[in-house]
Amino acid sequence: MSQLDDQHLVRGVDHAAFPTFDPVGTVHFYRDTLGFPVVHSICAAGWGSDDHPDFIHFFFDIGGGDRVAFFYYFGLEPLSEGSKGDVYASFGDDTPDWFVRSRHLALHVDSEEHMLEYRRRLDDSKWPVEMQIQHETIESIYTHDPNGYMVEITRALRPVTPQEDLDANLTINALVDIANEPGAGMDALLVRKAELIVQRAEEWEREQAEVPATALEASPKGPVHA
Amino acid sequence: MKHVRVGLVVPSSNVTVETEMPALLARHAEATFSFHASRMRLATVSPAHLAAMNAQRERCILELGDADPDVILYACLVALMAAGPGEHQRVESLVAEQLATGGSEAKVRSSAGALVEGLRALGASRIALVTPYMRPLAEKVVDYLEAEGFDVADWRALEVENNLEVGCIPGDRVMEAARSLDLDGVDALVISACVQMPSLPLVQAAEDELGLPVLSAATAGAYSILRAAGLPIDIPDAGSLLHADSSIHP
Amino acid sequence: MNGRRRLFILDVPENEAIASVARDLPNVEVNKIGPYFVVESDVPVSIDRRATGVRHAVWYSCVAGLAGWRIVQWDKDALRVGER
Repeated sequence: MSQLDDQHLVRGVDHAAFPTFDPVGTVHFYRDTLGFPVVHSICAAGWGSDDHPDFIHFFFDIGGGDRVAFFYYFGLEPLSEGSKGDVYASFGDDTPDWFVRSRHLALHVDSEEHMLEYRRRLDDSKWPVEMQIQHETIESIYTHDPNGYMVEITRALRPVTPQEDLDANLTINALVDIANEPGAGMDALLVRKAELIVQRAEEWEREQAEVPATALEASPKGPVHA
Repeated sequence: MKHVRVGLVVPSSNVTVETEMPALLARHAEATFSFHASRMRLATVSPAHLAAMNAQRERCILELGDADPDVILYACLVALMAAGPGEHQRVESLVAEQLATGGSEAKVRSSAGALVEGLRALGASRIALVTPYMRPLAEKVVDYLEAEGFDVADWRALEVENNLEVGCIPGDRVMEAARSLDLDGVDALVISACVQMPSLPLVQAAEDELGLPVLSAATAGAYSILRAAGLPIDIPDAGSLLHADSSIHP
Repeated sequence: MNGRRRLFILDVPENEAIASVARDLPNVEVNKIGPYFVVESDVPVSIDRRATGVRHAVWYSCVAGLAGWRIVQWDKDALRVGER
């Protein structure tokens, strides 16, 4: 058992990596349109046991010390062939769009003004904003990059409250409890979650009252174990 | 018998690394070595030319990676030291990253890093140097070694700017410079802080004559390669650094 | 479990209007357990969406838990719970 045992030690996204077949378009989108600086690149060959092409691995800063990265393999032809999706994963015509959109990268901005500034940059480019939507507590704009990867830029409409952190943890605990039961659906989740609310919610509120106000600012406290 | 494939990144006009390293390592009783060099264009040893040379590093590593070497030695000492303290660690990391990203398992060393490693292995803290450089570059080498924690008691700059000429500096001139140093309280003498200035036959002779451990960028490079390859340090007639693991010391 | 059936809604600003409309319904009590509104009743409850004034995204994510009820209708008109 180490003294680091209970600590949340990771520091965000070192890089989220994706392949590209269009490095020029990718640079025009991230560096030139969105203004994300190129912060690193590696030129390498495939020296391991696989036979693979020379490649460039390049990184854009997406704020907070986090980076989005791409692999460009010289001479590699696109591998996927479906009509929907992106250059990494493509799908047939009958794949629902909501499923295709379920994997995407969302970047955070601090205000409506900043979100609208990125809207302006995208609308002035070859990749205009496709949708602007208000969700429960966030508002987002969406577009697709030259590789077909969906990019969202999102702002919070208000700060996250502590009870939302509790609620998220109860949802996940309920989900873990019921997801593998045959036929389990949203109804089963809501029933299980109600049980957990009754078990936990008052105690949580008492604990909140004992914590000084500054500690209640949004920060990851680690999982609330079942 | 173990075979070690050594990749070398050398300045294009360098002829001494490819002469002295094979000569040194051929003396090893327990392993054979082959050397595979990739070249960075350089004629004049000046800061601007050295910076331009460093930019070719990525291409050189790509070429050497294809040969699947066991260890790669980035063999231009002054190119790294002229860029300022900490440079060899920075460049070694970038080379290691480039190799690792492509799945190569080659180990990475540099002549600059090897010189520091060799001096530390000798337990030296107060040192003296002979360099072939113009004074401003020689001062950068001194500054670099001082930033690594060494006290440079005395040093010489032979002021030869053309790299091909550096490769032809006669041994007598190097020995004369070494003898002229004030070696009072010095733990080790770097008889050539340069991988192009020939010095191999001088290392043992200077150690015998001057009575203190003598090393060169080349002997330090050999030390570092042997350590990277996990081989015992036991090479005759090339100074006490290369006897670190010998059962009989001279 | 007692005979009352419950619908749980998280107490965050966007949901206040929903709890408020529920509170005004006959035969319905709205209490709190921790940070959750608990909408309790013996008879099925129907909350009119337009009366709450909330946006669709808020409406369709407002239910945090169900005890004894099942959702019978949840659309742009109403959220209605009934017997299991």
